[in-house]
Amino acid sequence: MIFKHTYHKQRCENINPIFLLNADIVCSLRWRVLLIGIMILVGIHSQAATAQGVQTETNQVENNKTELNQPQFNQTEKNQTVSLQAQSDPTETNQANNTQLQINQPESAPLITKLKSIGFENIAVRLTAADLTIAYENRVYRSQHRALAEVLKTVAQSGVTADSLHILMLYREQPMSQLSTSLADLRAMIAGEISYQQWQQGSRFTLEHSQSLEELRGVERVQKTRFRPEILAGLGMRYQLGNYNNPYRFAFDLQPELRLPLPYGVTANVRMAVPLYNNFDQNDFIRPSLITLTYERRLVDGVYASATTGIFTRNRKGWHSMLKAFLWEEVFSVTLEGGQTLFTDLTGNPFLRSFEERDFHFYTASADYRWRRYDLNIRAQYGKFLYEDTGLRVDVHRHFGDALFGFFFMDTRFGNNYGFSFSLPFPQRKSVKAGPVRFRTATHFPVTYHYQGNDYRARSHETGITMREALMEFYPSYLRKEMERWFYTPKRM
Amino acid sequence: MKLKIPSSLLILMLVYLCLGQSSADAQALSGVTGLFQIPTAEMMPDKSVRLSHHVVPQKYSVYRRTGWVRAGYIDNAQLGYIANSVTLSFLPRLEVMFRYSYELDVPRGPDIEIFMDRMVAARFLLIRESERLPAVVFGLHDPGSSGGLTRNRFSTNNYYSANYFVASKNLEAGNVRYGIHSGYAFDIGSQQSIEYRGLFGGVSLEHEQFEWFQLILEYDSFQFNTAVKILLLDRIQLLGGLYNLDKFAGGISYRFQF
Repeated sequence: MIFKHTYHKQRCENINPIFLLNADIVCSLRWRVLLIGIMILVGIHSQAATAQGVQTETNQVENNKTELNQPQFNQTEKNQTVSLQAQSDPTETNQANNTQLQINQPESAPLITKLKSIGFENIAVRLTAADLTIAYENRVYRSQHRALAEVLKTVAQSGVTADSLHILMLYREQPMSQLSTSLADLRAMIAGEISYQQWQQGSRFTLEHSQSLEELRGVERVQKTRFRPEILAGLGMRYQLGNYNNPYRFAFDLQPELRLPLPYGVTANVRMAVPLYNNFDQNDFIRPSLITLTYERRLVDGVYASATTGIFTRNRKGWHSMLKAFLWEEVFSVTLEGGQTLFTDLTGNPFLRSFEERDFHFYTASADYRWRRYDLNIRAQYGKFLYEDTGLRVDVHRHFGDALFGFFFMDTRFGNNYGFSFSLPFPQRKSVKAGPVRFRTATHFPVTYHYQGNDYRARSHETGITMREALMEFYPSYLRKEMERWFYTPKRM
Repeated sequence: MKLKIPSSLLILMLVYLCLGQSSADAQALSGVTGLFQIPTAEMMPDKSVRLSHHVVPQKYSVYRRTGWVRAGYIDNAQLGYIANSVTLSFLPRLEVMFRYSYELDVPRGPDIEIFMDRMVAARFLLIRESERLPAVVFGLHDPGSSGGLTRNRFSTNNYYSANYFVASKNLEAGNVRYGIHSGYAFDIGSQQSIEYRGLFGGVSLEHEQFEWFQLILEYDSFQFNTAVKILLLDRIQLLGGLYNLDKFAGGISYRFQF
């Protein structure tokens, strides 16, 4: 027996005409936004703009949106953008509160208290007779699917009554993904009356979330992340297989990292490298590894922009920006990246100083396809990589639960190469809180292997922009699959 | 009355408790799913990873047979080579493997160059085994070289390169399961097939009561080999056998699934 309900469709039809637009129109709109993004990035590159310039870019995109020929859509997007800005700016938030503040209602107070006690942040709850809408940000659990499962269990066990439940997942205060479901079905699933499969078939996981954003507009957020730092302990590794006198050469660094959320969607990152073992190179001293100020923001449904400035990995300092647009849920997306960097030896000794002591531009365009059935991601990236290397890089990677395995191939001006990469999760699944500070290990330990060793082909640097990787954890198809492990599934129904 | 159980019996009981299920998709010395030296058309379950550590006798190594290794290195290794590999079923029909091997008994130092070799392999399941049809896999081992994928043949170091089709069919007769495997390795353009050349094949035997134990007899294109595999806890595989019924080779591998 399959419980398929259409409440979300009815709700969308009644309230938000955007969902009545066919996919072509929506795609068309996104293509326009993307085109604008390309123009802006080209403009930024030609002017060698700084991260401050990218702020202007965001504003331009939002201004230009109003000129698009979709009045209803524009109005909605404009409102939600205003809403986001209102949430970001304390002054504007106060103004919004004075005019249309909808405080979290008393009926939902126990639910908020429970979510808060678990450790979720930026919690906002709005309850009407028909809908319960919740927004939250997870910095408690290593994985977002576990966090969502905990929220669902908490809601199911609460005494709140409503027909539909809408959960908006946030990352760095920005909405990423949404789940809509029937509260009755959720409770039936938690009680073991229906299976997880039956429940999820009647639920909607999506990257579209403007309606929920609109409903949460002006609702007070509880337990804000701003100025509440996270301290992470990561592990860095440099290595070489085979130099003809030792089959393995390694350098391991402990990488403590401070992440401090600031207002306006900005995050400050400071990561150090503390050598633990090194028979690989001369970088056996404590040094900074990454110091950045990063601004990450959702522009409209499925379009995200990021900009960062600071000291990056691979002995680079400068700025970097990214614009990512999903054209069809998570199945197909395009990404533009651009940046400019100078050399710095603050992060350690370079591999080949004479070559690396130059200024380099970085601008690439990439297209991503996700084969949802197998959680397989295929990315083709073309453009100018670090070290003035122009060419093509193709990445194929797949989620294995919380781990990621993949391969890459590159054919650039410097030659071709291939290799593999994997990213394994650290065992700690939940962060520890002490006062306003959260402590945890880094979520993953990434390793990349180039078949032809240390060279400069199609290289990129870590910039502090995490949106692209973070988004993958919020992909609807990924959440659907991975959440199953947290719920009871009867063997026979 | 105190019951006295011999310690050897206790160990045997403990080992028996640890014995696993069928080792049909077990790993060969080469790192890919196979018998002893040859690959089969079996595939690991989707999202499986296998880590292995094998010892290959120098006398029957590909390096010795082909004479591709630079003079002076190969004779240093009296015991043979360590071959460490990671095998991953990346997709239900795609298995990939990375192997890193180096000499076992050569002292290391700044002035001593020892021989090391990396290889990758990919295997594609073309036909799944059914009631009538055997499973068929196309395999590609050690393509290209670290000197360049195709641009620099002169610096090639693909000692273990192989291109092959292999078919596997499992049959049951009474309580015994027979795995019959046969393949053919061939050159593709400049990509020579070295690890296997021409026909290869083998038979594996399992008793349904002792699925953790597998007997193997195979022909790897150059010699006949025999081996046994033991599966412990459904995860740990012990492999031991004789190359050309002469020199021992074997190792241990660990498998897990995401």
